[in-house]
Amino acid sequence: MPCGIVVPKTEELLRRDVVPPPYRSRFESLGIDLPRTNLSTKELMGTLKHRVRLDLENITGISERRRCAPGEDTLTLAVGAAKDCLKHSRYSPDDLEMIINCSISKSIGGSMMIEPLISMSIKKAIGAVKARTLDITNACAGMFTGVYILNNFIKKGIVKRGMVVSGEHITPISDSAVRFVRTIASKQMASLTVGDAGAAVIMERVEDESDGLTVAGFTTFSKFSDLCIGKPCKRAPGAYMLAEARKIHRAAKEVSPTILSKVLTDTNSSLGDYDHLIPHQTSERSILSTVRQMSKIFGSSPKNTIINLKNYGNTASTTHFLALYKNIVDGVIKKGDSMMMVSHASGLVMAMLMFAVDLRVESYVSKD
Amino acid sequence: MSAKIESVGTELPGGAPLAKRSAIALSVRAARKSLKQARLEPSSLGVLINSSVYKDENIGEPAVAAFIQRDLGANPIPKGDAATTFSFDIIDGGCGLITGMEIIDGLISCGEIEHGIVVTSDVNPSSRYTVGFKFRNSAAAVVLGRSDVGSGFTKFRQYEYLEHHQDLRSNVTFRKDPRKNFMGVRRMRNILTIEESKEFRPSAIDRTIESIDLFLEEAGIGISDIDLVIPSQYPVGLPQEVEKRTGIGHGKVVALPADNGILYSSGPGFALRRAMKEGLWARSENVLFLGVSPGLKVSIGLYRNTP
Repeated sequence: MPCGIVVPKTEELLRRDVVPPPYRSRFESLGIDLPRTNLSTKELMGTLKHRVRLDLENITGISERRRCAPGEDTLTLAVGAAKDCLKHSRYSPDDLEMIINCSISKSIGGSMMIEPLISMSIKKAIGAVKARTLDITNACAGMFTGVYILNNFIKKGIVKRGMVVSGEHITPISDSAVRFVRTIASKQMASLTVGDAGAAVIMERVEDESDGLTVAGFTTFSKFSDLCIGKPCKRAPGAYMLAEARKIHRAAKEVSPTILSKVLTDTNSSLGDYDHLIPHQTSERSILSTVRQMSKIFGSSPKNTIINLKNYGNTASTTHFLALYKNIVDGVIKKGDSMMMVSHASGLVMAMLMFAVDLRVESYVSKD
Repeated sequence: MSAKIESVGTELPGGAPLAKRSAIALSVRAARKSLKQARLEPSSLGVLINSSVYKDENIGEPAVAAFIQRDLGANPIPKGDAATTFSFDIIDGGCGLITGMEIIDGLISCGEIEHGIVVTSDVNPSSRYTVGFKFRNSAAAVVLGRSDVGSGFTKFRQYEYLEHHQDLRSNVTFRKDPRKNFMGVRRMRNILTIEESKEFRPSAIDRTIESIDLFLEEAGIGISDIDLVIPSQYPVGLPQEVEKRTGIGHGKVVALPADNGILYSSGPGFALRRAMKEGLWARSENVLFLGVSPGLKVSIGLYRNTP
């Protein structure tokens, strides 16, 4: 099982005079929240202001996505996911020592919230009175970055457990795209693939012999930082996103081998050692093409690549944890399975999480 | 082992018009200054954290830190075994710089990185479509490195007071422009609005004093053990009130002159720069970093400075 903490080699330890971190972390429970309303790709494409000849469903594998109805937003999704996560957890809100919110979208009650922190509103809503709070943003790598920070706080012994949470009310960017997309090459085309969702994960200090979580390869290839930019519209409600999807895909394929090679060497593992790979959920074709390329380079491939796009689309920072949750519920991912989750996000950020599924899987299957 | 402060750089607008407006340009210049002082190359940074609150055009994606990393030339496209940099944004109001230093302290302590930088800036995203924005455009950057013995952070704590959650609110809302355009029409626009209640300032100051007491009690030290306080400069008058109400002694809390304007997330960075410039830093052994954010939150970091 290759999913241990990456410990520096002995000579490196001597050189740096570094004491290996005393604690390891792991995922204790997961939660999600989804808006009640669905919007099919066919319906969405039917609302485009300009006629575009494109079979979006066939290219992306997205049949429908969830979409917030009035009264639902970033905060309600994040709080819903946090509460669901607590339902599957041994812990009560009182036990949480940290809450990190990672939403890109910050839509609350029709406004884009800047201050106070959304994590403080989540803390208040779930009654986690002892938790310290932090908001972070790192595009679709937000929850990975939250895990990176919380993992370090647990490793250092600052906290024993905490929650990483995100609510993504991201579909307003598709409202903008509907008005402006004129051709298949439009920079707002990728905005038509998004869906709304909330996800949360509780992380805890490992107190037994299990391997815990490996957090590895976190790198920003900032040369590509302007390939995808999202910001509020000037003359319309909500936000818009301009993405050069093909260039991002090419860049991701260009940088992935460097990081993947380093991570596989450090963990002494191969892609074939992993039962499931969860990549960032963008489009089925680009996922499969990247996996094919990586398998060719590294001589093996994960036993299963999870694509969770059909009913949810790309749910930004929540995609990996939504996919993990849904595939546990569906019985595809089982206790003890080895996981590799890979994030490719605007920035261009590449990040990886590896772990053996150590959750109380039965609670998800029976309750859903 | 912990993280020690290698250097600090600050930047105020000047020169080209773009630099006056752009948080990224200001941040990059502050970061370059701090790296130069620390005699480090941008490529030595393992992590770059941006803790700005008010960003260029209220950008949501990607992290502004990625643009700063690119413009700084900190491993924008590492290849092979070359060093890498990981960048991300945190949002933590006036506590951001201290929280960023805490995160980097953790990464350095665990041997994940050798050096990291926290950059913070606030700019008025649009002079036309903002209401209640009173902060001066500014940026600060702090470089941290490994400290085996001697100087470094010894303790961080955060205190949160949710009863003051709504005392200061800022958001971007699609609504009627409060000002008329040249045709005398008030159009609908996305407008940044900052609303501060009358309670915010007194509550923030009271809670800061309360938090300092709690922190000192937990650390098992008294206010007389503190040689220097590097505080948030917002709410206005906070440094003076801390000096007066804690009884720490005259000149031990760094307050920036009023002609600096109101500095938000970069306030502690400017205070640190001033303390270093005036020699206060070099003379001080126990230094308290103090951040205050809406919500209400007080962040405190204790730094042991070995001359």
